[in-house]
This record gives sequence, C-alpha cells and structure tokens, in this order.
Amino acid sequence: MKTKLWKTFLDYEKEEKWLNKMAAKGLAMTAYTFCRYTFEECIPGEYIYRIEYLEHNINHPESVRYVRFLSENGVEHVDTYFRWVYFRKKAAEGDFKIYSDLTSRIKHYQRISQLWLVIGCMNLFLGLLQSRIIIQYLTSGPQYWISNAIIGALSVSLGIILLTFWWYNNKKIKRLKREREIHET
Amino acid sequence: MDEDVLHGALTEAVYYILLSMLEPIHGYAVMQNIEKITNGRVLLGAGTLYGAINTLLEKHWICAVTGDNNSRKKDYIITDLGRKILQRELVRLEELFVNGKNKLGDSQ
Repeated sequence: MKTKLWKTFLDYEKEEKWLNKMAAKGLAMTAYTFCRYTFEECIPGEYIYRIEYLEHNINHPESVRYVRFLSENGVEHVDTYFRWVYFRKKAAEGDFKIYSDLTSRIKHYQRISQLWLVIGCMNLFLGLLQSRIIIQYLTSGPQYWISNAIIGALSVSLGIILLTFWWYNNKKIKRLKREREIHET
Repeated sequence: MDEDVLHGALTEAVYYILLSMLEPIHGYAVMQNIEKITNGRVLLGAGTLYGAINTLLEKHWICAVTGDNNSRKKDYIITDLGRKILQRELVRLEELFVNGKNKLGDSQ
C-alpha cells in the first residue's frame, strides 16, 4: 500500500533524519516530487536513507558512473530531485554513510552552500525588483501593486531564509575545517 | 618522481584502500575488508571510497583489472608505484610508532 505525505524541508539533514524515522516505523520512501513523499510499507528498520547533493546533473556521465558504483556497493538509488539524490541501503548490510572523512564532508557542504547562495541571492534580487515595480505603479497607476507586493515579499523572505541557510552551512564548514587541522575523520 | 609525493603522509582511508588492493578486489569488498581488519573501527563511506579510487587511478597508484569474468563489478589492484608508496608509508608509521612507544613507555 502506498502512502503519500506532503512535507517541506530546507535542511536536508533534518529530512534525512525524518526519512530514517519513517523507515524505522515501517514506511520506506520510494519517490519524491516537490514536497510530496511516497512511501511503501517495509519491515521496520529495513533501510537506512541518505541524501546527497550531486556535483553534476543526474544524467551527466560522471553522475551515472557514481550511481552505478554505489549500486555495486549495495546502495539503491531511490529518486532524484534536481541534483538532490535519495539513496538507501539495507540496514542488515551494516552502517551506511556516503562520506566518512572530513574532507569529503566539507566538499559536500561547500556544494550545498553554493546552491543556497545562488538561489538566495536570486530570490532577493527578484524580490527587490518587484518592489521597484510597486513604486512605479504607485506613481503611475496602481493596478497590480498588491500582487506585486505579495510576490515581492515572498521572494525577499525566501531569499533571506536561503541566505540564512548559506550562513549556517558556512559555519558548519568552518567548524569542520578547524577539526580537520587535527583530525582526518 | 617528485620526492614530496613519496614522503607525504597518507590518509587512513587511502592507506587501508591501498592495503586492500594488494590482490584484485572490487569496491564493495574494499569497504568490507577495511571494516573487518579494523574490527569495525573504520567504516568507509561509499562516496568517500569512490572519490579516493578516482584519485588513486589518476595518480596510477592503482589500476582497474580487466576481468575475464562477465561480472560488471570492476576490480582494482595496486600498481608498483602504489606498492612503493605503501612501503614508504609503513616506514613512516613505524617511526611514529617507535617514537611514541619510547616516549610514552618511559613515562608510564
């Protein structure tokens, strides 16, 4: 039986924890499209889920090679959303991690930081552009200014949220880099 | 050959990957082997292993074995260069070990 749930996450680590909690309860995620998760029943605790943000698009030869390598290692590719990939592995086969040392974890966080920075700035810019349009309408004829104000405010707030994530992610990277000065893993 | 390359300290992951590749072995078995010989202390992530294998292939420290079996899983084996690096690393580790043992052994 399939179960569909709507949920939004910005923090992929929280999302990962949630998916693992669901799997522990006997619901294994099988598909994802924009905030909608599909689950199928499984033996409670059958799978461990991991989420990764890939370096390239999923169809890029490098990504294809990577996903094939993982599948040879007993890692199942569950679904993809843009460059976000959902992986799972049978818990019976032991612990499942994608990155086990500080260097590769830092690299992964850096990819995500870049993503938040780019789309955060884009939203902020588009939001501020809307407010410019509002001012124009207010001075020449206020036909559409309410819808513009709403879109603009949403865009600006999303931009601020994403940039907060970028900042938060960079703090994580800084902490790991300090750790790397004395440790490898 | 750049002398620095031969003297640089290896990461724990690379050291154990090279050590696992003295015989032809595929990725999954590398992870299992490392887990086994370290009594479960070192659990190599699949992504970390993938990155390390690619780097080691580029550096020609390991190479892919063209298998005669029709299995799609690729086997890897250490090269002569890789073996040389591993031996140098063993000397370095021994130095670390002996120095530590001498100093700590004294104070105990």
